Amino acid sequence: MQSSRYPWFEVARGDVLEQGDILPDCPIFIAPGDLDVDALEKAASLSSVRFDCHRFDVIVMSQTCDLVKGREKVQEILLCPLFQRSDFETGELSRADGWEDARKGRFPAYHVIAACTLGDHPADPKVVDFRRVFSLPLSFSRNFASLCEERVRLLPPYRGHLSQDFARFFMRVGLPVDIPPFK
Amino acid sequence: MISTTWGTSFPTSRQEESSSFLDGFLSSLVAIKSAHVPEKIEVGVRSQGLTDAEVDEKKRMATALRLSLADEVYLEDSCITHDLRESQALTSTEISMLALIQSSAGHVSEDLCGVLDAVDWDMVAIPKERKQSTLKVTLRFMGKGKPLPDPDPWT
Repeated sequence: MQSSRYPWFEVARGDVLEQGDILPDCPIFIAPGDLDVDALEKAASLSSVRFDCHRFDVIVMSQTCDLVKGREKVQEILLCPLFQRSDFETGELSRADGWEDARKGRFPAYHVIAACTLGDHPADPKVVDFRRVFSLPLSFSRNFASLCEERVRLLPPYRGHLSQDFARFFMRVGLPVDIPPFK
Repeated sequence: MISTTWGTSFPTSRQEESSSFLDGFLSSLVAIKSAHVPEKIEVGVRSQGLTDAEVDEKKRMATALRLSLADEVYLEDSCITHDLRESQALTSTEISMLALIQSSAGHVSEDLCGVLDAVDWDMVAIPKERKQSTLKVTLRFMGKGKPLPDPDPWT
């Protein structure tokens, strides 16, 4: 699914990050849920705290204009994880019909992006999971991107479409009394 | 001059002329320390429906309350030699607030009462000092992350 006029992806290199950049196997540091908040105030009383380091394929959600080198508006970059169908063992996205529903936009928490057919970076369709939002220091993310040598970048307007769905996930409103279904 | 152990900024929105004491008082408080990551606590006094006297009282109470949150409050003798406005009697609440300051800081003299009367502002913004400390972290490497279970992806 790679139209020559409106390609979904291009290859990116270096430490210039844009919205839509896909960082494979990116380290994500997660604090423990049972972190003692009171003990944090008295850090000396803590021998050490264990953080979990996971690896996720992530996509940059921060706006490109906020990441311009030398004119950064943010210090941390927002990232969401990417998964392919084989990552789901159960549930809607373990099945083809679930991916079709997601493709049609019926799952607010998910956004599907197309398969990548760029020569050295073939990939199956993936889903962006908005339920998990990570942040990493921008400088760290730049360094990591540099180490990747090459990475895939989601291009406009597809990344704008992703960004729009991301915003929609956080601004959705559940109505207390909904309109009954039309029959 | 009243100085506190954390920086304080008092932006005034009023354009009216202020006394030389007021200028000195305000400028002496603008000292946000770069080591701090300030958390602003803004106190706005809404004057709608209140008399001028009630607004003034609320401003003084807000000032006393904010100062009571400081680690220490020092009142230097030099400020009481400035030309103060005619002071008003403090309410029992304001006196209680000042008692809090004295009990916690132990450095406030009774002349603070007169200083509070001389201050007239619409908003007070006080950064809260954040203590810096070092946390030791060990990393547990979990491998490739998995998606969350999706019991209800329609939401």
